[in-house]
This record gives sequence, structure tokens and C-alpha cells, in this order.
Amino acid sequence: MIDHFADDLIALLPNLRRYALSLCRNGDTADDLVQTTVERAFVARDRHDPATRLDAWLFRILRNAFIDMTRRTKTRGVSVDIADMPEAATVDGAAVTEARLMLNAAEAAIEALPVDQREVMLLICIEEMTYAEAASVLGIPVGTVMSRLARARIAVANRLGIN
Amino acid sequence: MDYTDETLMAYADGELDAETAAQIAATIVADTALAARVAVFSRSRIAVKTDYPAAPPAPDALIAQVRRLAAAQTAPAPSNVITLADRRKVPLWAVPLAASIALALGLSAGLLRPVPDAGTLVAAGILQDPGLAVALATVPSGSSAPLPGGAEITPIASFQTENQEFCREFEYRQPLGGTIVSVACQNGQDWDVRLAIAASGGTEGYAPAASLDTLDAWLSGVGAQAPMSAQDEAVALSDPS
Repeated sequence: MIDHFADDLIALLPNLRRYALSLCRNGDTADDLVQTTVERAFVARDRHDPATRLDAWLFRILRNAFIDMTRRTKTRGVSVDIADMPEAATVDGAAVTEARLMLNAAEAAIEALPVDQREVMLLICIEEMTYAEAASVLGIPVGTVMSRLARARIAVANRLGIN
Repeated sequence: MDYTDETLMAYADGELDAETAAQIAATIVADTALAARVAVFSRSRIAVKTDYPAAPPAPDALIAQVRRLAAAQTAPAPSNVITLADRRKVPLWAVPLAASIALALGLSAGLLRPVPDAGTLVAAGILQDPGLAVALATVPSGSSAPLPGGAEITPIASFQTENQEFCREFEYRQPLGGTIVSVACQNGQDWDVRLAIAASGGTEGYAPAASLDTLDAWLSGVGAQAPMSAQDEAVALSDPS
């Protein structure tokens, strides 16, 4: 049987890097995160059901690796809710990103969202996952995904002058 | 009947059950306010999708890493093996080996052995340095420590085998030159040297592929787990059992 796992994974590397960058906001950290994700994916490959989408499975691994990474870099030994990520606390994301001249309106609108809304927007509207797939990546109920997504979409629409 | 934002959004995204979707479709025809609410969701999704930057292509190094990991797995081996070579970060301060250099290693044999060609398996008995056990039990991976007798040890990584043995890969720089890459596993208070490979190469940089192939094959054979984190290693080293 021909093994497509490596090929499929390589095809998804750009999307993984983009998702990692949205979580880390730093190119080097994002690349480390993708490398760790790739290693863990190979270790766990037998646990992936080929009938299910590979990208949702990989994104879940990446997100969990991100949580591990941030937990490890905390100086206190306390685990942190992803909504309280250090980058959100120390940097005004909207102000920083709007200062970047190359940021277009859609990017800026998404960057301005709180992190839990931004994540669902990225997974569903950019990576085109279903609500159920996004829920499995994030480890939350579908209902929570939907309420966050609805708030995110309305906020983005307001920002873009659509609403 | 009023619909929640979530329901209208699900309708716009094609995530609603057929029956409710049909109801909304019929209602929208006459209800412009409802149609406008749905439009907010569909237009915001389209705007974001078209304007968000495309994912940049993956760098060659990352693609190469995937290929390497896939190749390592096609050999019959437990699926939880990661090639430590992929994670090698510590350079060898190897000096060129000269077959004519005789080394004094350890005190038990008291013999001088000629340095073998790089990559050949060295009899495990060569590493009878009495300072080795203490160093393996204490020196963290990535640090170097001198040994009594003039050798120097640099542990590279700690890991468990599939039989739950606690093992450490390390580099052993011999007093008169030459480096041995070795793996020793804890056995009560002792450390059994299970593998020792003479390494060579330039004065800087990583061990050449040839000497690491043997190491990688051996690691696969014992079902070596991924290298331990610094914290896990510290816990394992401090455990007296």
C-alpha cells in the first residue's frame, strides 16, 4: 500500500505554518512549533483515522504543542488558559499590527479580535474547516465554536464596513 | 419566528440541517431584514477569505525534515522512534583520528589501544573509565564535564527504551584525542555501556552520517523513545532507584 502520509503532510505545511504564525506571532517560534508538530505527527500517525481530515488532526497537534510550549516558558509553574497568553497581556495586538504598513483590512480586522474569536475565524473561514472539525481542534463544544464565530463575524463585518 | 445569529450563520455556512435551511430559505424571500442578517455572515466570510494572505510555501528544510522522518519509519521499527540525529544540536569537538595514536583509557585494563577507523564499533570494554558512572548520573545533557584521568564527557540526550530502561547518549573525548559516541543504560547503581562508536570528522560541526547510522540503527532496535526534556531528565537523574 502506497504511503501518502508524508506527501499529505507536506502539502499542508503552508497552512500549518500560517496557523502557527497566528498563534505565536513570531516567525522563529512558529517554525519551531511546526517542526515539533511534524515530529509528533509521525510518532502518533497510527492514531490518525485516514477517513478523517488530516489537517484538523494536525492542527490539533499543533495547538496542543503551542500550549505545551507556552506552559514551558512560563516562569511560574501554573498552567495558563490560552485566553491569557503572555503575548495578549504584554502587547496590544491591534495597535502593533495596525502599525505594520502591509496589513490589509481583512488581516487587521482578524488581528483585532480576542484570541478565542480569532482562532475560530482562522480555522473556519480561512482554513475552511467545519464547525465540528474546529471544535475537535480546539477541544470545545460545537455550540461554543458557533457563538464565538458569530461574534467574530459580526465584529469583522463592522470593522470592514459590511454591517 | 426569530432566528439566532448562530442559526443564520450556520445557514450561510451550509452547516444547518436541511429542514431548517429550507425554512429559512423560504422566509428570506419576503423578509429583507432577515436576508440582511444572513448577508452579514456570508459577506464577512467571503471578504476574509479573499483578502487574507495566502499561506507562504514551506521552506525546503522543513520538507526535508518530513521526508527524513518518513524514511526513518519505513524501516521495520516501532512507530514511536524519532531519529536523534534530527535533533542533534551539540557539535562534536572531534579531532582527526590517527590510527597510530594510542590512547590510555581507564585504569582497569591498563592497556593502550590503537584508535580504530571512524564509524567502527568499538568494544564496549574500552570505556572502563571509573569516573563515567558518576558523570552519567549527574551531568545534564548539553553540558561537558572533565573526568579524572583526563577524558571529557558530554551527554547528548536521555531517553527510555521500549523496555523502560533509562539510557543516555553521550560523547566521550579521550585524553589524547579522538571521540567516542556511546550509549549507556542505567542498571541499578551501575551504567552498562551498550554501544560505543569511534567518531571522526573535522574540528567543528556534526559527526558525519556514517558514524551516526550505526547509532540510529541501534536506537531503532531498542525502541528508543524521544529525547527527554531537561526537566524530565533532571527528575530521572535525581531518582535514586
